[in-house]
Amino acid sequence: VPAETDRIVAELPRLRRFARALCADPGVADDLVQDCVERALGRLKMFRAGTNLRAWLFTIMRNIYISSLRAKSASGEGNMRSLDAEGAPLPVPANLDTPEAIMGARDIVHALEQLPLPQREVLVLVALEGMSYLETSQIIGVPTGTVMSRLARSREKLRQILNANPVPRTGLRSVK
Amino acid sequence: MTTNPDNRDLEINALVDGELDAHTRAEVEVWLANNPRSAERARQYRQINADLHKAFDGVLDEPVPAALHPAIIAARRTPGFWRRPAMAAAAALLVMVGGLGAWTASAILVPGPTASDALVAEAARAYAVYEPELLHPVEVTAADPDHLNNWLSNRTGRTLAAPDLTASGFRLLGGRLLPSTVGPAAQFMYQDMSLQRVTLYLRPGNGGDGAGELRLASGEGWNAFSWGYSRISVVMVGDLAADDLRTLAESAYEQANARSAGQ
Repeated sequence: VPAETDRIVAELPRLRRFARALCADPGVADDLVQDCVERALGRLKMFRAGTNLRAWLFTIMRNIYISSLRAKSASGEGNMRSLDAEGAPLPVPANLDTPEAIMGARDIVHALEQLPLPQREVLVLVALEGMSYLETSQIIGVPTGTVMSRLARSREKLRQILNANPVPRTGLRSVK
Repeated sequence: MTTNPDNRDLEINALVDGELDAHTRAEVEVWLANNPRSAERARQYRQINADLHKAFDGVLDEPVPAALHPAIIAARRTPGFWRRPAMAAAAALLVMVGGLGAWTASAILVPGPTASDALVAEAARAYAVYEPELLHPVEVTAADPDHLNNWLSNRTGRTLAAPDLTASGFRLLGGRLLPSTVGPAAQFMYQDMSLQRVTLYLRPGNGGDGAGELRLASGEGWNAFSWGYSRISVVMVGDLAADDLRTLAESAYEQANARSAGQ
């Protein structure tokens, strides 16, 4: 058994976390990890010993994910978001007096799903996976300057989504 | 947020991500101490990082399913990747896109700055304003495409029809009317599964002879392809790689030409 195979085993938890943050559904996420490991095994000869195995695996998995999204999109499959008035979330002005309350009540996972993939993947790689700007630029194949501007847009958009935390349509109303 | 991040935004992010050298970090921290609103923003960014870890770190402690183990996958040996329907469809798509390239090879692609810079800047501004919009990216949705096309045609005084880009994975969200330097202009918006958006901006006026030139232009966070006819100019804008955007622009271009040939 080549040493790389053992090292892939050691990376499985990290691959699963990255996959979970990309596609939310745990079953779909593990399918993605499986496809990634399979493709990595088939390309082990192309991996240069001494280079960053984790970044290499992340690159493979991210590319498989994007291909699968494009395929689903082209076949009309999948959960297209409704833009009907009824389907749209209600905007509510942020209550900036109590950021802690907003922070506690929000749903980071739901907010993350509202980001376009280019912004979401950059945020996940840097903020969750702890990748450097340079590693992130190599994984997604764009200059570090693009990583930085996407990251800034991504964080600011996520912050605004979270601060515009929608009020439930039923339930308690606050009274002055 | 409709503006591009400035240097201070990038520095605040880099501070949160530990990407600053000691000197710059000290400088940014002093600046934040005197700018409470930005300091609060930095605090919320750190909170986002912490919340992401809270939401996803549990996965690290879960037992890894045996099916993901390299030894098990290697033993199976069947290439499962291509067995899944979605992956088979991906293969089909690659073949199809290859074919499309052959049909549209006649379109001449001329990179670089051109006389249409003002037009492209107008389209890029409209893109930058509405692309990040969560709730109201369009004014009229694509629920009734005939209504959408008729409305924008009536207001711009040109016969417009939103091209179908579903073969490239982009679905029409709808459109909106915009003011331009030469009167009402129209913007169609499309979105793919990854929530990437592209816009198609159409403005009345002489945009050329329609001889089949797609011109590439680029700015901060966008690429654009433009072309024109005697009575209308067209710009496609998106934060896509130039080659991907070109595929979309060629498709729109071909459909527009096919329609005008049929009239």
